[in-house]
Amino acid sequence: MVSARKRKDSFTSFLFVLPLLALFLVFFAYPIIYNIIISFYDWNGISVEKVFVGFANYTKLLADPVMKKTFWNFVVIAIATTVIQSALGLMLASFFIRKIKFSGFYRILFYLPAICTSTIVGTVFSKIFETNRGYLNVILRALHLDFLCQQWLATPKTALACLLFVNIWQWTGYSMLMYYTNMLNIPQELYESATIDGAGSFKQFVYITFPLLRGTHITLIILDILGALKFFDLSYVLTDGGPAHATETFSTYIYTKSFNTFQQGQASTIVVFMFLIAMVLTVIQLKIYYKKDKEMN
Amino acid sequence: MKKKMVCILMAGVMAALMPTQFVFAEDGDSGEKTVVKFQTWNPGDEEYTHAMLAKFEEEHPDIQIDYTFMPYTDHVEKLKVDLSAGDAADVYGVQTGAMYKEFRDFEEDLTPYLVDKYGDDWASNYNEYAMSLLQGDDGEYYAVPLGLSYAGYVWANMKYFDKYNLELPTNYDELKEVCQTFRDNGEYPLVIGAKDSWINIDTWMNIAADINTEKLYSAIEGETPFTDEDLVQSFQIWQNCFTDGIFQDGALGVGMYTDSTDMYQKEGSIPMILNGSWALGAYKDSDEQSQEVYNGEGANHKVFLMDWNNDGKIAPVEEAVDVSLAINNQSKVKDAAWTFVDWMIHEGAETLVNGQLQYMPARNDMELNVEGLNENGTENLNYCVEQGKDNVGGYREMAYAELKETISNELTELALGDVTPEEAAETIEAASQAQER
Repeated sequence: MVSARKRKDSFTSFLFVLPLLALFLVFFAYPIIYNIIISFYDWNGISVEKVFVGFANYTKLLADPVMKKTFWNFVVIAIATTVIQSALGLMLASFFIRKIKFSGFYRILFYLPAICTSTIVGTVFSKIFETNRGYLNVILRALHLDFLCQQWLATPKTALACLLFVNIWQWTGYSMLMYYTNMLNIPQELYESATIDGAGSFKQFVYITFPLLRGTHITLIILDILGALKFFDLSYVLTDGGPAHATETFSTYIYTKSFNTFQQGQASTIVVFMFLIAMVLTVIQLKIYYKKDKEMN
Repeated sequence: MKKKMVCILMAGVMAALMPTQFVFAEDGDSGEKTVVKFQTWNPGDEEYTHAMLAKFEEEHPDIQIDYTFMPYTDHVEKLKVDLSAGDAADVYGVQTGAMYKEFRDFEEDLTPYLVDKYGDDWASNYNEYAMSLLQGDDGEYYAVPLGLSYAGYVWANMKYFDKYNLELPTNYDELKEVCQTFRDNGEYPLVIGAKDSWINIDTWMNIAADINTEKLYSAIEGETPFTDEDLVQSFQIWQNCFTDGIFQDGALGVGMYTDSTDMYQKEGSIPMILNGSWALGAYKDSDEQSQEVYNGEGANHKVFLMDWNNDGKIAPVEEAVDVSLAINNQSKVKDAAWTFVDWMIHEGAETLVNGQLQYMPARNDMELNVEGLNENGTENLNYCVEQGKDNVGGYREMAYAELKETISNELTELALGDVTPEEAAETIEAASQAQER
């Protein structure tokens, strides 16, 4: 009798979960599985007919020099944004946490780029970086610094650096805000005790602030790496992945494969590759968080 | 118990509601009117487009046009997704070449409609070359042309030529000298928005067609190797355009629309730009700045073709059907869709060609009589018409997307000086051999 009731209860519980489960299966699980299936086909993404090619898309992808360049760009974007953005964010947060005049206004000012759409940011910066009449070169020429003028977005050596600059400019405010809000949670008594013990501002930062922001560091690292993995809009607007794939990212390359060359199978293979990287990152993230939870318990 | 029952009932209702949403979305009728969904990147989301569609609806009170404008790449993207979902537009714009070929599974064969209405000889009423681009391998037609366009032209604002006492260049050497003079005077040389692959391919094809038209098109079709010396020479000339200062500095960092075209068409601040016959539409642009540049006092522009290899013969133009209309073969309102397409290629084309100068006419019986075009515009229009009649090298859009992508990549590498013309030719030849045709 009890077990029948238990069965009925669990069946009822299952019914409650069912709509959410259905949504998860339809909108999350199915697209992922379907994408993996497509990666084994030669398909233009439109035709009714698909040709099974086994691992051909994977071998092609591994031998593709553009894919290697794209992976390298991902590594550069991930490292540069993570390190520079976090460092600048931390620096700004440390500055604004002090009770300085107009700090609220400056915090808003630094955060503003983060709420702008990347399309607008990209369009504005394309006017700044333009070679002939772009504001940057015009200013440099006006200051008689002609030797510093560059074809910023037109040469591979500077295009990626420009893209990184714009990305960091846009998102540093976000890192700053994350650090700032978490700094507010650090108990003031720690700083007071440290001051009594004779620790200066620098020592307080190194031995109190920085270690206690460990959770924020990890969150920002994960977010920045995932951001680098999905990097699309700025590259698409500013350089369209060029010149010569210098700013190609996984997303822009997927876009090219899918919509310019109609190679949906190969595009799906890149998505699988991205999915694997994201999985590894998520596992690392979860392990770190579980470890943190255990330490707290 | 009651609570539990209510909850179960609510969960059931929620689950049941999900599929009904899809059922409602499938219905194509709105009241008594048949709704025809029309999606394209061209004609654009302009006042004249809406006026044209309103005119159609006025003449066909039983049909309502649900028009969606999308920039080209978004148009392709949306169509791909919507066609798979069975919810795509009933009529959509198609570009000849790769797009026309790749969407074949969802393009209605329009031949029976055309034969039924205009007889077996219907195709003779259209530009012959355009129809050859639209004829499928099976001999049938899956789209009909709204208008034509020609690529390969150079546009010159004569204000700058008069200012520096220069003549229009007729060949590469003269072009180089003219560009140097402009540079020396702080002006832009010949402008190209080389971030966009389409203008790079248009220009290279124009150079290659000038050297040897036959070899260019047979190479694209896989019958001549790209390593042929004439084609290698075309890559060399393309590269020289960057190293000789023909194109502006930083050309690879700017696109055509609208980074570069605005400087020519709206600001009137550059002497020359590469662009196709469709740029004639700027004469009819209602924008105040464009009006001043094209119709202001003393405005004088020349469109011309280059002799890229200094052999005394100008390059031929490349022709494209811009744009053609296809009917979705999954459409539930095919008859209404055909009524609309038929109207568009007749009355609609009249508005777009003679009213707005968006394209060259695709129909042989259409008289070109553009309303309110000034003398300079008429002169340039006549030049484009003349070249379109007597000097067409071949198609503008190749049907091989992967080959096209490789050519585009190599043109960028050549522009950067990262590869030699021979290396580029070899890479393209390898892609050509791997290309399924």
